[in-house]
Amino acid sequence: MIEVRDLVKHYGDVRAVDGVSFVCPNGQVTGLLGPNGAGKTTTLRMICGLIRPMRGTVVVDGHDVKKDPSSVRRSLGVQTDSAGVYPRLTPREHLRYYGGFYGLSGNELERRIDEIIEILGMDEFADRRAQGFSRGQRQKVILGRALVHNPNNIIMDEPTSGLDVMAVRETRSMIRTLSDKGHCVLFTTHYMDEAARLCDKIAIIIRGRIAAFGSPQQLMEETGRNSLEDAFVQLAGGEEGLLVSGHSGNDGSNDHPAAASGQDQPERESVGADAGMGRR
Amino acid sequence: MWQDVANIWRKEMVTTVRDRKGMTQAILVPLIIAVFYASFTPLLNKAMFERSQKPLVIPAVGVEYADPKLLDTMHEFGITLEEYGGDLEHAVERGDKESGLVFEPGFSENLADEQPAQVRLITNSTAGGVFGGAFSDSRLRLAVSTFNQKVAAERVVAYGVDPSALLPVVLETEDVATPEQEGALWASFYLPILVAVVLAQSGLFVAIDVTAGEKERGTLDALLVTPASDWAILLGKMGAVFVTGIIPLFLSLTAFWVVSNLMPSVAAVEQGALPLFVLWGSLLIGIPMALVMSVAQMIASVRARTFRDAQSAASPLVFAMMIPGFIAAFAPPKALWPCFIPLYGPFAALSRMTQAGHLQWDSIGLATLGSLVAAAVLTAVAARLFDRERLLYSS
Repeated sequence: MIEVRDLVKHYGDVRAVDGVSFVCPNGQVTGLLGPNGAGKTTTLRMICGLIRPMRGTVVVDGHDVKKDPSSVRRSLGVQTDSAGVYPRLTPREHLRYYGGFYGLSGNELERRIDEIIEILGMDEFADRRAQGFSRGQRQKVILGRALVHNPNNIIMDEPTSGLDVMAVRETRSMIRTLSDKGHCVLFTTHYMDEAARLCDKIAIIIRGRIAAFGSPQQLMEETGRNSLEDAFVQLAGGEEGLLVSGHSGNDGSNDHPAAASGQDQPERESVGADAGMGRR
Repeated sequence: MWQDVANIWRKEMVTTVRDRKGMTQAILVPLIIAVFYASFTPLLNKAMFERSQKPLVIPAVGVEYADPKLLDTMHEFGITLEEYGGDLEHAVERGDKESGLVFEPGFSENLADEQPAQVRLITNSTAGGVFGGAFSDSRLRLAVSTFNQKVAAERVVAYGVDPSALLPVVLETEDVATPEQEGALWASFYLPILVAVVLAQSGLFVAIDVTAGEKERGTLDALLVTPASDWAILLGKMGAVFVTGIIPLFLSLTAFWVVSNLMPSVAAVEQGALPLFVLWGSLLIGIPMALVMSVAQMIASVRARTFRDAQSAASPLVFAMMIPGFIAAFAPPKALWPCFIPLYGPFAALSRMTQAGHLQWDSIGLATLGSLVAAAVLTAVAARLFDRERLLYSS
C-alpha cells in the first residue's frame, strides 16, 4: 500500500507539488491524472525517493521514504516513462541486472526471470541484444525489470504511451492482472478511456494539488458529467484552466524541472490535445 | 552495498567489452602510440647513422684548383668531389643538390704560400629533407676542419714548434652512466608522455558511457529507482572506468618495453636494453593515477546530458594530464617532494626513476600518496554529484 501524505515540493517560486495526499490500497489500480506540468512526475519521483519532499511524506508498506528510502524502493517496482534500455544487453541480462539489486541471485533469480519472460511473452527476443528493439519490445523489457522482484507496489508512468494497439491491450491486461493478484498499482496516463476502464480510484492533480479523488463513477457524479474526460476538464477549471496548467506552473512560469523537461508529455496525441488543450 | 557495487561494475564491464568499436579504439590507439614512442628514437638514430656513413658525392666547381691533400682528407670522410658544369648556386637553391663547393683559381698556391685559401660552400639546409643538406654540411665542415688541423700541425713542425702547442686544452671524457641508465635514457623522456596520453583518453569513453550515456539512453531513472545506494552506483561505475583505464595502460607499457628492447638490434646505434624496472615502476605509479583520472572523468561527464556534451566537458582533462607529463619529460625534478603533487608527481617520480636507473620506493610512495589523496578528494566531490536528485535534474 502507498500512502501519500501532504507532499510539498517547490522549485523557487514554482509550487510543483503543493500538499498532495492520497492512498493507493493493495488490490486496486489507482490512476494519477493531470495535465502536463501538473506535478504527476514530481509526485511519482517523491514516492520513489528520487526527490526529497520539502514537507509531508510517503509511506510504502509501512516504510517511510524519508527515513528509509532504500526499503521503500525495495517495495516498489517502477516502470519509468522513458523507454530506454541497454542496447548491448539482452532482455534476460536486463532482468538479471535489476534482479540483483533486490537480493535475488542464483536459481531463484533465474526462475523468476523465466517466469517474467513467459508472462510478458518475451521468449522470441529474450536472448537477443536490445539494439534495434521496437518500442513495444523495449516496453516489455522495462515492465519486466519493474516486476522482476515481484514487488507488492507497482508504479507505472504512462505505460501505454507510444505502444501499438496489441501492446496497449497486453499492458492493460497486465495491469488488471496485477491488481487482481493483490498488488497495489499506481499509474499515470493521459488517456481518459484507459483510466476509466482500469482504475478503481483516480486522483486528479491540478497545479500541484489534488483536485479530486474517487472512483471514475464518483468523479462523474460529483461533476454531473457523462464521461471521465468531461469530468476531468471541469475539475481542471474548464478548458481555459487546463490551458493554463498545461502550459505553465502555478505562478504562470514554465521553468520547474518537471515542466521544463517535458517529462509529462505523451508521445502521441493525448486526450488533452483531443479536447483542444494547448500543448507545448 | 558491495553486492550492488559488483552488480553495477559487472554490467558496465559487459556492455563495455561488447562495444567493439569503443574497445578497439581504447586498446589499439594506446598500443600504436606506445610502439611509435618506443621505436621513434632508435629508428631516428639508425637513419642518422646510416646517413652519416653513406658515401657523399658533392658537386664542385673548379675541382682542378683544389689541393690534392684536401681531396684525400675528404675521401677519408667518404666525400667525393664531382665537377659540376652548370649553375651550382641555382641547383642548390632549387634543392636539386644539397650543397656544393666552389674553388677559386689560386687556391693551391695560396695554401702553399700560407695565405688564406678560400673555398665557398653553397648550401641549402632544407634540401633533401631532415637528413639532407644539414648532414652534408656537417661532414664537409668536419673534413675541412680536420684538414686545417693537419696543415697547421705541419706548419708549426716546420717552424720547430711542438704541434701539441695547438691543443692547449685536452678534454678527456669518461661516461659513468650505468647500462640501466643508458637503457632508460629515452624512456625518461617518452614514458611520462606515454602514460599521460594513455591515461587521458583510455577510460574516457567508458566514463561518458556510464554517466551521460545513461541519460541519453533514458536508463538513468530505472537505475535510480533501485535500492542501490548513491555510493554503490558511484563506486560500481567508477570501478568500471578504472579497470578500462588501467588495461590499456598495462598493454601500452608492455608494448613500449617489448618494442624498446627489440629496437637496438635493428638500430645500428646501440642504445642499451630498457630495464624491466621501468615497466613495473610505470605501472606502480600509473595505477593510482588511473584512479584519479577515472573520478575526474566521471565528474566531468556526469553533468552532461549527451555523449557529445560530455566529450566537450571532459576534453580539458586531456590537457590537465598531458601538460604535467610534458613538464616532467622536459624538466625532470631533482628533489623528491614534487613527487607528491597530484597529477605532476607521478610523472616526476617516473622521470626520476628512469634517470636514476633503478626503482625508487620513496618516489613511488610519495607519488602514490599524492594520487590517493587527490582521488579521495575527487571521490567526495563525485559523491555529491551522484546524489539522486542532482543526477535526475542534471538530465
